[in-house]
Amino acid sequence: MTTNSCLTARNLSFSFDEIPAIQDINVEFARGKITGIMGPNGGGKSTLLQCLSGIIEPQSGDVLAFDDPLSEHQKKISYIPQKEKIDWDFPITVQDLVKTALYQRLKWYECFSEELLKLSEEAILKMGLVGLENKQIGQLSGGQQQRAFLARALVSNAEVFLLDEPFTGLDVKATKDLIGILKKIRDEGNSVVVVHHDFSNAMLFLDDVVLLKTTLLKSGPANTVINSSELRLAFGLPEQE
Amino acid sequence: MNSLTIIQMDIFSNPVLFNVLIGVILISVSTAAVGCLLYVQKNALLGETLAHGCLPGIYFAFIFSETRNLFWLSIGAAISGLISSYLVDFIVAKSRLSRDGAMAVVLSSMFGLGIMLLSFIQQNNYPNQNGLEDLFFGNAAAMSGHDIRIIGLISIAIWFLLITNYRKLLLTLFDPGFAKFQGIRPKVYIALISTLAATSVAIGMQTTGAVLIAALIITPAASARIWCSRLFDMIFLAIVLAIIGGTAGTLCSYAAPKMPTGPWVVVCMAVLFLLSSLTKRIYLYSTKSD
Amino acid sequence: MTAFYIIIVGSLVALNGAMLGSVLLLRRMSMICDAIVHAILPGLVIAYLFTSSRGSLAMTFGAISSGIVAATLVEFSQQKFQITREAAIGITFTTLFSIGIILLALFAGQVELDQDCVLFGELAYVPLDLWITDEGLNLGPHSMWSLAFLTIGVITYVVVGFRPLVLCAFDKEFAKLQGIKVQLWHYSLMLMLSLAAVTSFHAVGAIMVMGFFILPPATAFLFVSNVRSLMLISCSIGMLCVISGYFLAQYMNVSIAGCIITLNGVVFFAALSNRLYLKLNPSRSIDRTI
Repeated sequence: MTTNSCLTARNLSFSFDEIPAIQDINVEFARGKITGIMGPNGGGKSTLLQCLSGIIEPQSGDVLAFDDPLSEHQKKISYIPQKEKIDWDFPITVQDLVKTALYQRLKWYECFSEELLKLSEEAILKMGLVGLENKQIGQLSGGQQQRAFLARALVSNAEVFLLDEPFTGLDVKATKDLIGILKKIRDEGNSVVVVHHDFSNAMLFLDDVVLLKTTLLKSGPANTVINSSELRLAFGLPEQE
Repeated sequence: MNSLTIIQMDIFSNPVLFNVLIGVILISVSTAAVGCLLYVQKNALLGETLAHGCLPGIYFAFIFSETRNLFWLSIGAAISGLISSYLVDFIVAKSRLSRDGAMAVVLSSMFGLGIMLLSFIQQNNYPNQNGLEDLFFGNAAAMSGHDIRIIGLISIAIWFLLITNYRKLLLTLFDPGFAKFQGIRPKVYIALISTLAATSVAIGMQTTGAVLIAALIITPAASARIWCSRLFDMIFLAIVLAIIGGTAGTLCSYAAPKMPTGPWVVVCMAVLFLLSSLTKRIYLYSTKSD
Repeated sequence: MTAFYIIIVGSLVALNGAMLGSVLLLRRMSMICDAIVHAILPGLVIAYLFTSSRGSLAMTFGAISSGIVAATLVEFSQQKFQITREAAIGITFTTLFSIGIILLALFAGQVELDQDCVLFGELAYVPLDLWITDEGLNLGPHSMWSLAFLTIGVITYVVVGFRPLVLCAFDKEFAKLQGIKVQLWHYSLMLMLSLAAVTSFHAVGAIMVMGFFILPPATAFLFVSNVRSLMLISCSIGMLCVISGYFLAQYMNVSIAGCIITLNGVVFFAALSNRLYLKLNPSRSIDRTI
């Protein structure tokens, strides 16, 4: 495929109980780049991400993946939910979490073969989680938790990584490590879309930014959007002199 | 010969004890496994709601079939239980009531309906109605060979469904969104869990009765979760603990005259829970001081 | 006259139930009600064994102690044993109830507590247990008087306590900062609940009591968002169901309490369907203005 966009939203709208979360969104997410979805709280960022991933169905409009309908490339899209949405008490270890991505390849009576186990080990190695395989996910640090979910995404051979506020609760070092990992994922030719809220480090890793407040306010290269007047408008800040 | 040897001999020579033991073990294994799923779903008390919810179904089945054949009663119980489970979800989805309130509403309404039906049965002199009240506290000793066969068949069906769908259930419980990506429809598997829960409660009512069946669902699961970080290990340990607790409870109630089986099984499982918690705390304490 | 007594007693149970039940509903403690109602059994049995009397005072004290023990165990096991709240509730009440049954069976010869009566009670028998003074003055059923006293106690408690109780449910930290003794209110509520349960059990049975606590407030909650209206409407619904339930039960010749609760359940689901039919969108937040 030689398209330039990994995901495209066309006239996307979604409402909760008749209150619109996102309205008429038309935007292309560039392939091979890290794009940030930013904007004020309640602006629909998570909702947009969930529509892009295919977890929720928009009430109008549709989503394209690599210029084809989303369903054709569903397997290449991976989605990592917000921290709050995950059940950290669930009895599941890092190893198990990664292996869940391989379940669809097995019949109920089949056990994990050598090569499948190797795949999961490689992903764990790549995310720097060696030694933590048997830890229950609730016992990991914030950064390790994000990386565990990324390992799961890697094993599914995803090409598009969607992350919802992955930097919540991470300290400086963990943030730096995660930024490094996202860049590595991008450099291997994959695409990353993150819902992000921290403008202080946005310029360090975001290539493009989509500014959202129920409707699309602006989209484009990071430095253009972040320094734009639309940003100030979105957050209700006074115009710069 | 000491009492232990006597009991061991009796297990095989006394058909009633043998029946009860097998029945209790079969039921405990099913409820423990399903209980683990409910536990991680944060829905542990559904067993309590289902137990009360099964009652109207059992009484309706009795009225229609005019027999106390466990097969028909179990079907009635399971259907009634499923309806209760559905009603809880319905209330939560369509009103402001919390899950806790919804479960309590369904529990008490169904129980009220059950009592009303029971009094109707008693007033109208249906034949074979002796022993229907046993469903409140259980009457394991009344389990016949026929009952055991039915319990056995239904249990095997439950285990089969659990084993063949284990991975899909795990995915659905942990991350329904991800499950969708893998081509699994979460609604189907959540419904499966409710069905398995309703069925295991339906067959378990005979041993421990409606009031205590919740213990068979919750206690082994809670005891196992203390030690296990993987769902598979948790289910395995819960089943082991359930077998131990069930056997111990049955033997204790057999050892003393006129002792009801259900409460003893519950108490033994509670003791295992305490042991599990205490040994874990000791373990944590000792590893900390290393 | 019979009808009058039954309706009065039923209404008093409903009144107490509606008031305490409203508080429980707002605190999301509806299932704890189920637990407490089961957990008071061992207390009743032990009280009888110690005092060898079926006197209300001993039983009441036994029930309250048992209730408090249960509440304490739930809190304790939740914190120390790291299990979910639901699991703590489930394990505690089933174990306590089992201990109660075992004690009953152990001392079966000595205890006259009728299993049926303890748990199920029957409103129809209320007029049989009359308080006739030495001069031959008929003061009405015993239950009526004990419930009347209970009602005064409950009304006082609820009027004094509903602000701190609801605030604690909302935001424990804030309540603490305001100087409210969170633990005190929690345990006093458990105490009142046990008291109400034991006082009502003679009339409607321990388990049926739960229906009176849960259903009227849940029905009212579908419509109103403020605490005062919640209590008033639940009291009205509760009493209306008692009256209609009584006459319906007479007509159908079934258990009176069972009929009342079932009717209450039907009213709840009718109200819910009504709301949905009219497409009244329930807002998820509740205005807890006091």
